[in-house]
Amino acid sequence: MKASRIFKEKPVNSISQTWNSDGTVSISIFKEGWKKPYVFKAKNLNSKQETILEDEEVTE
Amino acid sequence: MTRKGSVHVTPMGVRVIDVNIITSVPINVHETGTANVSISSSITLNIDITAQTLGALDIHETGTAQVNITTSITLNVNLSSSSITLNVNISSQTADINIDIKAQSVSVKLYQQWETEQGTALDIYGTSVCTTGVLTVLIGYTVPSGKTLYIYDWSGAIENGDGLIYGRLYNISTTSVVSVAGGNRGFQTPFSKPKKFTTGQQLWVYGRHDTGSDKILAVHIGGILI
Repeated sequence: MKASRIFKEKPVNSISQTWNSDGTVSISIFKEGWKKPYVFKAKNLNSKQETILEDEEVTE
Repeated sequence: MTRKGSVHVTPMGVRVIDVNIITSVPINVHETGTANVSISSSITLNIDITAQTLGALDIHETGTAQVNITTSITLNVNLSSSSITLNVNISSQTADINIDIKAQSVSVKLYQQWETEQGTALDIYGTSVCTTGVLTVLIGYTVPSGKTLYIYDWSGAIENGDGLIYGRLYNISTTSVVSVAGGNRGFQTPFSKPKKFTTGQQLWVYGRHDTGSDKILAVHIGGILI
């Protein structure tokens, strides 16, 4: 499952968001038991114009 | 069964025992003033205690014990090494209820402890370079379907300089400001009663400073998803 989908649909323990001046946000998610955090990047997050730019596949 | 004085019930086999004590009688089964109800098989035990002076009530059984208290009474319920369902119904009481549960498969916990164990602890951190005088998004989060988020505290700070910071915690789904805070260089706000965001609701955190130059603002939310 992609990190962006887990961010929206599943509970995780830690979320880090870095908002950029161009309207994009890089989000890192982590859940206890994972080997590492997973990252995705979005533009216009949570809006109708939302676009996922980069998205890691969570293999755990 | 109606009896004055001491009460000692020792049933054998599967049955329903109703013990209704309706007179003002101290229950002193033994010389030490203890009432023992010993049941050696599965049973539903209903005990109605009204207007009584009761020393100690020990219930030993493997079924269901239901204790209905309809007057002021101190009730000590000691469950030891038993498989039991205990229903305690208290209405219009000025009573102390002491429940001592040892060696059981159940436990009684404070709500905060239970919530921590049952839920998913969640930390959300957000940061951005913020132009002076501009309210800037620092966190955007949607509560997952089927979950409720309880926020216990939030905080914010200017990472790379001194100045005054202002923060706003906003529920965009209800268009309501949940909390505002501010401070010199930073702030931290614990909630005595957690802020609740229900399934699908969006929370946004905004920050602002007026230092005269761009600064990095950072905010944090601490909560639990249940």
